[in-house]
Parts: sequence; C-alpha cells; structure tokens
Amino acid sequence: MVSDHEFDPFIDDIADELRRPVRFDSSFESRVMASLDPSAVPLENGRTSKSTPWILRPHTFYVSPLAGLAVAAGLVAIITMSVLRTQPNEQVAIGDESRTEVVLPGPFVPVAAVPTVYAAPFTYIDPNAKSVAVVGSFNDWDATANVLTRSSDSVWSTNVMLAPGRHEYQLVVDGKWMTDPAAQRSADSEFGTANSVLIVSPVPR
Amino acid sequence: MLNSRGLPLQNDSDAASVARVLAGDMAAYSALVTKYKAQYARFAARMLGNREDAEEALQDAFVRAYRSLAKCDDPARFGSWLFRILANRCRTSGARRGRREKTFVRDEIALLDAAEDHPEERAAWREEIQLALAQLDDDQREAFLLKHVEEMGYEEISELTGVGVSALKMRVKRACERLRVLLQEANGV
Repeated sequence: MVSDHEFDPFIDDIADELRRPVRFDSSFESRVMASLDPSAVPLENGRTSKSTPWILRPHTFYVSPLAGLAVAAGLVAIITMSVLRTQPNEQVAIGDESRTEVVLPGPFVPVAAVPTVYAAPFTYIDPNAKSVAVVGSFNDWDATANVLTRSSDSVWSTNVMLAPGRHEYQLVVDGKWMTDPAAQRSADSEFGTANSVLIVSPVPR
Repeated sequence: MLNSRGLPLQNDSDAASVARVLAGDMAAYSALVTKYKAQYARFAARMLGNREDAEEALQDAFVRAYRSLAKCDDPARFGSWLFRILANRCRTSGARRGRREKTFVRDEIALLDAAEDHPEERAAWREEIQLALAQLDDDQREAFLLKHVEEMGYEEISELTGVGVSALKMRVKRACERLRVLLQEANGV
C-alpha cells in the first residue's frame, strides 16, 4: 500500500527546486495571441467564424456519424467495393522502441473521391454504461465532440472522420477516461498507459 | 520554500472570461493566457526538459483551446481542461522526442530557470535534478511533477489524467525511488 504523502526531506528538496519559476521569452504571450485570428470567434462546432477552407485542413473536418455513413455508402457504391480493405489485428513495431501499436479492424471508409479523411469505427461493449464518448488528438480531447450511441443493449458505436495516420485516443465511459480494451496502449507501462492508438491507413488505390 | 498551491482546477472568473471570449472579446483570452502561462510553463518545461519544446507545447495548447473553446463544457474548469490539452501535447512531444536520440544539453538547464543569484553548488544540484528527472518515464515524471511540484491531490491528478489513483501512487513512488538512486549516484553517495 502506498501512502498518500509521506514527508521526505530529500524529495521535498527536489520538489522545491523544481517549483522555481520558469520564464518564457517575454514575447510568448504576444506570439500566442498573434497566432489566433482576432476576427474569428470560436463557434459551437469548434471551428471559427473565419477559418481556412476545410479542404486545406482535413484534421478539423467533422461530420456527424450518420452523415458520414451516408456519404461513405454512396461513394462506396459509385467508386468501387475494391477500395474497401479489412485489416486484421496487427502489431507494428515503432522505431527502435519496444512499443507496439495496434491496427484496428477496418474498414476505414473513404468519404471523398480523393479521400483525405476516413470514417473510422469506434465500438465499445458495456451493458451498464450510461454514456460513452471517444476523445483524442483528433478532437482536442473533447468529450462532447464524438459521443457513441447505443445500438443494442450493450453495444456502443460511432464513426469518426479521421485523416490517415496515427491517432491517440481514450474512451470516456460515464465520465471516466479509460483506454480502449479493444486496442493496445500507446506506451509500455506496468501500471497502464495514457492512450490507446489507432492507425488509419490510406486505402490502396 | 516557494509558494505553490496546485493547479487552479475550478474558477468562476474563468467561466466569465470564456463567455467573453466566445462573445468576441480577445482581451479576455489574453487574460487567460496571462493567468495560466507561468504555472503551465513550469510544468511543460519540467516535463519536456527544454524551453523551446515547452514554449511550443504551451503555445499549441493555448491555440487548440481557443479553437475548441465552445466545446469546453464546464468553463469554470477551463484551467483543468487546458491542462489536459497541454499534458497530452507534452506526451505527444515526449514520445516524438523519445524516438530521437535522447540528448540533454546542459546549457538548457540553466535556461529553464529564471535568472537569479545563487551559489554555484546550488546550480550544480539543479542541473543534477533536471537530468535525473529527464531519465524518468514520461508517466512517472508527469505524476511526480503533479504530486510534488504542483502539489495536487491524487484525486485531482486522476481527474486530470484519467489514470487511477492507485496507479498514480505507484508511479509517484517509483519516480521518487528512481530520483533518489540517480541523484545519490550523481553525488557519489
């Protein structure tokens, strides 16, 4: 059992040193404000009132799961079924570290003729959950952005529009953040790790 | 002893500031930047080990928070929401750095701290601490900083990080043990 806080002069001395203030460049604040668009007020959908065209910013392009599915289904019929690919669970070594990542089962459905984003399915099974959301690097860890819906007594699911690449995420179940039991974690740790990892691979053309 | 009262997790004035920003008042956001800059700069710098990465991470966190401000469902807790964005940004940055060769430029340590007069031996001790801190796992370093430097309770840390209290306690314990070994080795104890 680890006590909540044991006084330890050695550790407290270290902490005292680390509590010393760190001063950034005096222009830091002005640089932050300059990087914001003063004429753009954040809107309810998380975008701003004066923003770069969505096609140039695929990471900020979101549509509702139902709309995404409808668009995807239509395009799939028009383009070809062959662009769909189901990927088996596969562990991928990352660099020279002993970390692993998981490629979740597809399909990742392209949502444009020249796909820049894909409908990535998220599913969670829990008959007792009252609410489930997915938060990640793709939605600024916002628990209100991508809420899963209950499709049966215990199955929660949603699709999230994601650009190809590596995405870290967590599930928020009844307000509690947790890693996705269906995915491996972002880093090795004996006590659990921060995030789950999803790799969205571009569909081969 | 330096004063530290933990991260401000809830603040009614933040709710008012957020409302003003959403109404188009950029000065209100500037006030939020001013308010959280110093404390979060310290956390980012201690997490990432150099000022350049820390500035980049904190600036990015402020920008992301602004762009997503309408989705901050509890504006009175803007501080903790911003911190979650920053902590995740630091993790991402730390992972990216981990894939590169880990080098720690000693001069950076001096740059991290505010200039002040202090004895040479104290400066050397600070260098040793920052070097030891950089050798901890990211999870352990984050938990240690939040507990012992930002002086947060485990329940608060759990709320911020999404990690269970018992796991956090173990991370802090392991961090303390590792720091003790590293620093005693450095001092030939």
